[in-house]
Amino acid sequence: MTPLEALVHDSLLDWIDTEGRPLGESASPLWDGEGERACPFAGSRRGRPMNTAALAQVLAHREQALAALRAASGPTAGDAWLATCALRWAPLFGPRPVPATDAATFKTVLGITRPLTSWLLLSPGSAGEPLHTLVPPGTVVDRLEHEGWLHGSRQVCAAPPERIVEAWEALVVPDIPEIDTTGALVASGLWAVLGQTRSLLRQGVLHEVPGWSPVASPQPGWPAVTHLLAARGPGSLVREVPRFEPRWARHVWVDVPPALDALVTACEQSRTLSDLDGAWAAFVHALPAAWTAT
Amino acid sequence: MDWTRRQFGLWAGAALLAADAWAAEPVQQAVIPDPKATPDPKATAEPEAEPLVLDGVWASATDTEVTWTLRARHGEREGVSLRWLVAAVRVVDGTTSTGVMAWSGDNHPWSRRLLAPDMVDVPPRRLVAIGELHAMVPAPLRTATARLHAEIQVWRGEDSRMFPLPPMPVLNPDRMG
Repeated sequence: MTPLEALVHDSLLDWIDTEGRPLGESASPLWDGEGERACPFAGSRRGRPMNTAALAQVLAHREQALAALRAASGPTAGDAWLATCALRWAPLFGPRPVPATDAATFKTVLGITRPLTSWLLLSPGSAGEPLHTLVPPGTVVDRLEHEGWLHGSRQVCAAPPERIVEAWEALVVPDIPEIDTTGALVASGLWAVLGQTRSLLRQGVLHEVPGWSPVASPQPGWPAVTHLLAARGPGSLVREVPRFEPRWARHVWVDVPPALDALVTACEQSRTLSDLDGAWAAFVHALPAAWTAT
Repeated sequence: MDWTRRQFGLWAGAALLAADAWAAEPVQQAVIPDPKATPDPKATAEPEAEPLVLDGVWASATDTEVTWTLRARHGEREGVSLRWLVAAVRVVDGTTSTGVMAWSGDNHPWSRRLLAPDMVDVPPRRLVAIGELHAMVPAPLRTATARLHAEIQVWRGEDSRMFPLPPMPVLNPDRMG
């Protein structure tokens, strides 16, 4: 499996760290189920199942995780989003089993990256503003609570409120870092392609996908984008909303990478799923070779 | 820390994005008729769009569960995006049994998981499968005349409606003679 495939399918969730825990915790079938207790925190989480074993791991490596956030982030909300993406996909190129410090960092950013993505997508132009203008630290827990981000499909977020604020504050640093933004580029490119895929399927390009239904598993002969649409991973965001316009993929960036810009344009001009396959293939072809090497 | 897939937050986020999405939809200008103009006798009113129609067909059964495939069709010009959940079911066979547990997709109520279902895209004027409805139907209720009456809640953007499905057989209709 290439790093690109691992990102698209979120294989990282099933990777084991040096303490024997899957990175995805209960989202992975490899999770052992131990350490699940009633949540003690105030609010809607109280009394619901919470993963205390994962919390213990994150707290044990808390300082390193916060240092990683500070080292990867920058002055804007867009920089903070790029930092969460870089740390989210850093294990793709790291050692296996994943060092426990990296696992703790991964779990910390996993809780931040999805709400931050949503807030940036909903507020075009906000990527260039300071993170604390988008969401001040004093309000982040309330907003997470109000919008339901602290509830997973199986468990509630195990982070104490003060640790959430601490991580949010760690994402604000004055200097722009040197980080690998390829993971963020791939994720946002995936949204653009899949947004247009859904748009075309809604328009009824069913001759390209004989036997298609919205919930059928993709068949081998169908265009590759239908397989990407069904994959677990960052592309699932597009399945969760009624529509995702390809141009929205630019919202999370301060400086839109030319490769993403070109992909968004190609997506908007695509009238068939095969066109989209071609656009995605060209985008992938231009990625650094390490992403597509087995 | 299961943060990879949220429950109600996902719905909230989806609703917000949904509002944005529908607002971004190109709006067709309504044509205001000129009261002084002579009506064109050749003009024909555009037929009203076929409403959303949903039904369920028997798919499979185990010792404890019966599964139906839920299908949807509509006649709008463009495809629509929906999500749905089971709201209420009962088995009717002369008498009504309401203590029937039912769920959609992987949302088995005993799993303690409530996955917000993915959006499904229904292209115009095509009958397509949009998901599976499961119910625990015990053996005594599985007769040739028993029917499952299900009501599902369907979201389109932020709006939701309750849809009663046509009654569905609990036994394989191909084997009911």
